[in-house]
Amino acid sequence: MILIPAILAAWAAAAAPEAPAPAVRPDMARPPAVEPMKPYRLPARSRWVLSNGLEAILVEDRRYPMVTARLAFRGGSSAVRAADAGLADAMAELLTDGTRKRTSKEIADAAEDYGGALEAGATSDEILLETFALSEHADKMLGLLAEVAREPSFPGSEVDLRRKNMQEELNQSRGEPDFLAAVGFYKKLYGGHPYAITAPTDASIAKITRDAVVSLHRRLVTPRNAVLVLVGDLPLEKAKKLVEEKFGRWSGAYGPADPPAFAAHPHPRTAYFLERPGAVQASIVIGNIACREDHPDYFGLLVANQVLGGSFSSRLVQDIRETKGYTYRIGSRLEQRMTSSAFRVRTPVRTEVAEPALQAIFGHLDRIRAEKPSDEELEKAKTFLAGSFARSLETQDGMADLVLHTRLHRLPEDFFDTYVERLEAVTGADVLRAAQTFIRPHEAVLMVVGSGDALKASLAKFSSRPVVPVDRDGN
Amino acid sequence: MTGALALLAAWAAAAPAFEQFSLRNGMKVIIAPDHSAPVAVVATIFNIGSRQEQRGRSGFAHLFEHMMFEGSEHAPKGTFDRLLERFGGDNNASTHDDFTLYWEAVPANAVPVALWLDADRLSALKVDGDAIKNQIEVVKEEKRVSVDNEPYGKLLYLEISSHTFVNWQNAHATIGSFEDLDAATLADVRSFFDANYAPSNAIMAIVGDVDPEQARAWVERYFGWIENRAKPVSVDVTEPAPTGRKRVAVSDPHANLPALAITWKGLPDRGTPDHYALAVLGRALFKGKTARLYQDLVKNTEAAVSVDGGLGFPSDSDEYRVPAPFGAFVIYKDDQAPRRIEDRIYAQIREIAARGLSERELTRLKTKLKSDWILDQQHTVRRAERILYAALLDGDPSKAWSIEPFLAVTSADLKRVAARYLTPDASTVFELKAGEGK
Repeated sequence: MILIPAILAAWAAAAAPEAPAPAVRPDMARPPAVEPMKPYRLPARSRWVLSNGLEAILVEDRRYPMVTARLAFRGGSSAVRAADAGLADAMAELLTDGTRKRTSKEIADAAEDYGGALEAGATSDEILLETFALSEHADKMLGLLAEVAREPSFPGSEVDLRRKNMQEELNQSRGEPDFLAAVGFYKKLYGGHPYAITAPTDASIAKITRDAVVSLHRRLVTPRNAVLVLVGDLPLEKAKKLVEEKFGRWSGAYGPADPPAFAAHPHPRTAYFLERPGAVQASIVIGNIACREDHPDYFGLLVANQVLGGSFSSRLVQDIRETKGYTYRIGSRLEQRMTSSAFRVRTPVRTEVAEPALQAIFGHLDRIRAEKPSDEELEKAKTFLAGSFARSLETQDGMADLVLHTRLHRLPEDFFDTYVERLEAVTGADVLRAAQTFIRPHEAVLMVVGSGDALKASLAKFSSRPVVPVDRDGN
Repeated sequence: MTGALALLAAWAAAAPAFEQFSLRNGMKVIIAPDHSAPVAVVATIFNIGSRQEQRGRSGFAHLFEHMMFEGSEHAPKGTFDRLLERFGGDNNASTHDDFTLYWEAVPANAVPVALWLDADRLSALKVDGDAIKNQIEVVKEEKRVSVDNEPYGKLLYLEISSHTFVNWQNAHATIGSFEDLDAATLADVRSFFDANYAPSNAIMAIVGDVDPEQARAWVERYFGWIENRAKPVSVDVTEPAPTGRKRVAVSDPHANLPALAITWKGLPDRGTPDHYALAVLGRALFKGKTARLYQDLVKNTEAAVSVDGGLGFPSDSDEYRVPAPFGAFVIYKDDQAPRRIEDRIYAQIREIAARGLSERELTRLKTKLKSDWILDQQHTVRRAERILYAALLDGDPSKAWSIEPFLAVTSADLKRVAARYLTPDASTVFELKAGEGK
């Protein structure tokens, strides 16, 4: 018989507590008064540009004996044609699958030898290499990072394997309702824009060849198109020397142009539906095009989103989950792309309550546009966002992501230095104006993955025209 | 010891000190100051997990975790999150096989607010029938989203434990059954609280930018007066020794690719050399692109799409405690036979049992183990969790700063545990057929 609490008794004996003072029940009626929050800022950055155009940024962080790096190239999946969907992802992943000097296994081994890992992938706007190392191995880490970016060999066998596995991964993802809902949602939201494509298709995967991978690499992975971010226990002079040594004698052309700005051409709200046999929930995504972070209304919109569905005490969670019990998770967010951004609400609800859930969600979207948030909601949203910002700087990863985001999205250099001040300045009127401009339920895309005619009939009540069926590729 | 490991050992030795003490009511407290960022975490672990639930009450530990957010005497429903967010904080909780863990991450100035909220719910939790009904629905939605509607969800969260284990305490799912959840009454919830949420059944960690003396004064003020109650009656979680290979066929209408899982039970106690060796073996077989099974199944034979597993699987290996299993989980390609996947897994285990790992591989594995540990140290919540796991599961919070037992594992240890524990006779094999019923 295993006596679980026995271990606690042993613990108590090992601890050597002083005799505690006699305890009196404190005044529990109100929460304690506290000191104001200490200000916390993104630490200083050093930025320099190599003669070949590569931009490097260092944040010295001595808290841990570790260095974290990001090497990003502008133009990710949005830099390829829709017919080639998946090519940017394949090229990115293949960077770590062989160089002139090493096999994929040797690359993985080398990364672990320096106490790290090396991952590659593509987002809509970038090809991204991420790695970290014990600081004493910063030299080896940067050497490997440069090697995979500069001299990938794209072995034919690895390209074939990546193509086959990408097809298998796509099959696997198609089992997931969230994946299917996202594919359909972005397809409809972004129409013919490159941001409409978030997943490959069977046909586009079949087209991936070594030649296509090599030519995309030549086009995107060049020093002029690169941003290198280093965060960690690394002095500036050493960082400069290492970066010059590993990346200095690399040349290449300019990268692609940024994707075009997305001209929103709003349609009345339309519901799209994908039948998923056997589904016990309706997976719902609702959203519309919003604004970039450098738009004057952005901070108002950020707060509006926060009040609406940005955290546990937000309106959507409190009502749809905590009062009505329709869902386990619901939230809203702003998703930033380089030349556009989206506002969206996402939730899975059990099929029977899809209709009242949608009614309630649209009710909240209307309300955030109709009246200012209460003073309490406004304060809470602002402090929560400021606190989240401080907490995101806890880790080297968190710092590296913020620094890279500022550069990739061409935001003002002081964007995160003034972040908290600008948040604090947001008024209820700002929130209302931003919500009225950028939260647009009457023009939203409503994408639902689920099962049954009853569900489809419910959706019709929220659509300006008959519900549009979509397939698993979002067409 | 190589240079890298020596350097790390020196760094770890210089890691911040902590202090520990007990309150009069038996609650244990650990304070670990760290002033590198003006944030702090207050985390509490209760020695009650789903394994300690009673028959007919499956899912109660988890349902109760939800109830802890449903209001207390001075902080009615909704206040907990609202107040923490008002100070810029975040919070969450999770229910595991052996414990339930709550945390609040706050800007350091708000630590007393987190303590006040925790103390109020520990001393005067106030829930009503409506809140219970509402949270039963929310938990059922949680089950739908992560188990019923998700590929491989049923295998990972229900079937692995129900077929691996014989003792109901271990075999039932943490999420519980809809019948048991529906049967929950206000009286049940109250008696669950009285039985399991005594201060002496809890350990608290305060980690981050706090002055230890000040933090201790706060804890004594808000928790010192709470009366202790009897500790829960211990539950027998003993699992009979495995009696030969068991095969289980399952189907998953949502999965588009077949999968094979194997669990092994009859494993050593936490804190023994064999425990540390099995944890390292799990990493050697499954973790990352250098792992033996990733290389064999995904790269060399191209038979699989993904591999996962290790000690404690499907839970994390750092929360390992007997009778948790060692597990393997492979999603493979349609044209492969499940027996071939199973054979490949055993071929890799036999290989390590016969030859161990090369010096180079072992050093690499340990370097990575240490750097992963440093990565964890960067997250205050993760750091608090590690301290509480060490305090509860090892009975010694200082174990959170010590990875020496893992670094002491030798190739001979790996050979021994691979041969001794990962045998077909101790296994349950799950063959998951994809897409049935579509």
